[in-house]
Amino acid sequence: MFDLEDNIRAWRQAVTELFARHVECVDELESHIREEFDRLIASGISPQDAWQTALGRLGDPRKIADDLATLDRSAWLPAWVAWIVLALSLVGVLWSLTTRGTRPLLASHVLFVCCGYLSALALGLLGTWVALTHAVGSGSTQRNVAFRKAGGHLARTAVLTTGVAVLLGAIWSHANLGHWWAWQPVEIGGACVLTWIGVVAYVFGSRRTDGPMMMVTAITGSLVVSVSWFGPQLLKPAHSYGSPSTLFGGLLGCFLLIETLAVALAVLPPGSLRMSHATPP
Amino acid sequence: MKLAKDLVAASAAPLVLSILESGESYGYEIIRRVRELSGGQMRWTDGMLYPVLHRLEAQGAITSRWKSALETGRRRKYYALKREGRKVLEEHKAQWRLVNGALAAMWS
Repeated sequence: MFDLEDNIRAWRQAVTELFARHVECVDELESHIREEFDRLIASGISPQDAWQTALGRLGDPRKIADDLATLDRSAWLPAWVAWIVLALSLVGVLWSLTTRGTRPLLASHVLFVCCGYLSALALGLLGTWVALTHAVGSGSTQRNVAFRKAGGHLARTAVLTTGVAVLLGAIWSHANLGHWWAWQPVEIGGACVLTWIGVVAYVFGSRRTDGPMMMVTAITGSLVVSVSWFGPQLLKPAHSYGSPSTLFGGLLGCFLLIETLAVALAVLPPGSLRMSHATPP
Repeated sequence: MKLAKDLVAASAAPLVLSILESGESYGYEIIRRVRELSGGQMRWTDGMLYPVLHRLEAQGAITSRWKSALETGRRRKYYALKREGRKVLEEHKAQWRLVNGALAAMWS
């Protein structure tokens, strides 16, 4: 005597391992088989035949599992690049702090500053890439969806870590200099970065913002970070990291120019700079 | 008529999004609608729909929730179009109209 529940149980046991990373899909496929089974039974087919037919129409579970597995690998490549560059940079900063023997409080502050600022810079470069593809390619909602997702993660990371960095900086300043806040250029810079990336995080989290607005705020974020982070070093060489030089100022100027151009690309209509192919005579 | 595999794959997302444009639905019902709309000419292997749905959900075009059907009490995963999904659908429509227009012009 055919027992549907026994067959469903056996089927689930057979396919569960295939869908290890998409367990919920097994429930969904089971629901589908049950629907088809009921329909076939209602059409007068025997339960055994209905079961075999329903499974046959569903297709090979391995193929379905393979298709689902491609989702795990289909993350947006530029976002992966941004995260990898960010991670490598932080490893470099950590290594540098460790080898210098920096005190824990200051080292934590510097690490959080780097994490927050580099996240905002990575987001700005991601925005630059999207602005470039937007100008020379075409408007793409799918790309904007991927940008919103990756950018939202980076922006929230930047807000959180910069907030902690500002707090740790104030504690360090109080312990070593006797004041929490002194309106020094680096402190004003930190406040500017925190405010602006807060705006960026809001823009990426809001459903009412579009692709160009995300690009503009992200790229502007990298401008704010670069001026806030590296600008004070050109004014006053009072920090352990870097020193003012014409080369440094020139590089910063080039970066600001490129990012400003990227803002201009972001506000152009999609495909404005696309090369038109000449038709042969 | 048997449609080429590539054409079936390329049309899957716009078909799903178009069906969801008229309201939330679940996998089995979506496949039934595709068969109905194509007069039975388009016959997907049922299982191929689910990776398409999950991909669209991962892209932020659609959203899903489990709920029990009123008539049977059976739990089904219902999918609905999001605002981003409507934009994606508009892009698909523009692209398919372009292809359709070009082919129609050449074959008329």
